[in-house]
Amino acid sequence: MTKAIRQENLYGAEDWTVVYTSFKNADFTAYDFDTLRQSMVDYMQVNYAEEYNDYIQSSEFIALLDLVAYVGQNLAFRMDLNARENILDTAEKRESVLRIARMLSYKPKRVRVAQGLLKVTSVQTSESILDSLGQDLSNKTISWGADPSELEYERFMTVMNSVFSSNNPFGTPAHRSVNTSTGNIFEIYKCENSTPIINYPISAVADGTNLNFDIVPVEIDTAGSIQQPSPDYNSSFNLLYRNDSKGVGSTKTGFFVLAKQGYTASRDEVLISPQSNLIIDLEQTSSISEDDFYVQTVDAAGNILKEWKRVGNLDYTNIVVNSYGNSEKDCTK
Amino acid sequence: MRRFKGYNTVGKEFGNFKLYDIDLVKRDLLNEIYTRKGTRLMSPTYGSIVWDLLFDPLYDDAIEAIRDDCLRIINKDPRLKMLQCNVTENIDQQTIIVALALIYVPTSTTTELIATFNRTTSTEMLEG
Repeated sequence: MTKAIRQENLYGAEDWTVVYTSFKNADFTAYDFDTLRQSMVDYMQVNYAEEYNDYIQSSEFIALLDLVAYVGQNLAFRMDLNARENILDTAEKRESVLRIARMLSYKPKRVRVAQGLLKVTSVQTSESILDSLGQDLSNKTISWGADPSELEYERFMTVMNSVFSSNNPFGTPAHRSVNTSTGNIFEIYKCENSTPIINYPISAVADGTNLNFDIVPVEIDTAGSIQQPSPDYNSSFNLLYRNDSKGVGSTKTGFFVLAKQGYTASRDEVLISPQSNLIIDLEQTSSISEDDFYVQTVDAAGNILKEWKRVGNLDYTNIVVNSYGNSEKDCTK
Repeated sequence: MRRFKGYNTVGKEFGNFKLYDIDLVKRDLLNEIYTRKGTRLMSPTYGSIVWDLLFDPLYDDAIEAIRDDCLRIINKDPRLKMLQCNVTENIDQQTIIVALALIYVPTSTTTELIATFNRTTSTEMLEG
């Protein structure tokens, strides 16, 4: 048979009959071991009734059918499993869900941690500080708004001023912002750090669960939003003063710190020379928050030389960072 | 005329694998008796307990258990009925021997079947 004739037979004459016969005899509801086995036995009984009729379980041929049915069940299970991964309702793998979401133009986010402002309700200092009456305030607990007298307020501010940087006393904030709609005043005060620090870890019970929180510095960006500055051991620790013009008894008036769930961790990576498509695996990658990650170029002493910027989401399972300004092209060389 | 038509490769490497009637029925019975219970795919109750008793002392309760098990297996096949079951051991050859007297129901023929379980090799030896 020439090649051309054979192809004609395959594609034109024979092919449809073969396909038709196959589909006619196939049992498309047979997926598991029992139904696959039964469909094969049925097929044998219809097509080979004259040659074989030993359908007892102990028959050797039935043992072979069992084996084929078992393999068929395994294949069907895996096909079913993969088919389910293509549908958002039934997909269970994180990677599958993210791919379907990307097809729907949805950009998945990483986890966002709980955060909020904690009000400083009382202060205590071991430092010997005198109030306007000459009274030593060391080791005394001074509460905010507990005593309406001006003396208590003055004592509280005296202690706070001893914490603040000398060129940054209360009334002379490092940064000030006023909410034009509510009239609330927001001021940033820098502390005089005795030791370099970027966070104060604390723990708190929330809904019966003991959780880690970090008290972190706070700043007001150019848009007037309260946020955490990039961690820098050479920077001062900042506090927020807020005043809603309703007196010291107001819950929204006083000094505040920014608290975030989780903990701050860092890791040093030494990059001797630029590398393309470098991937650095971090522990607990899935728990790193959407916003609270920072990549910095630091020198041997830990001083920050450069802040890296986030690149648009290329792969939603990873965080991609780079410094791509004209003056920061060393990372993209 | 052949009533039962089947397939068997045990003891055959080439040639005709077809088996018929009483030979086929006996072969099917041996297939199950020589299968250790729990080893058949998707059939945990299929097979014989003899392999599990192979290294136990062959006291009366073990012999009774083997008899009951053989009866259970034979009763699964409507083509056979058990007349007698003798369980013995050959200590020199470390072997348990199960001798079955059977009736092949379609023709009411009496037949014998001997299944041998060897302790040394734990592999079946077919006789009869």
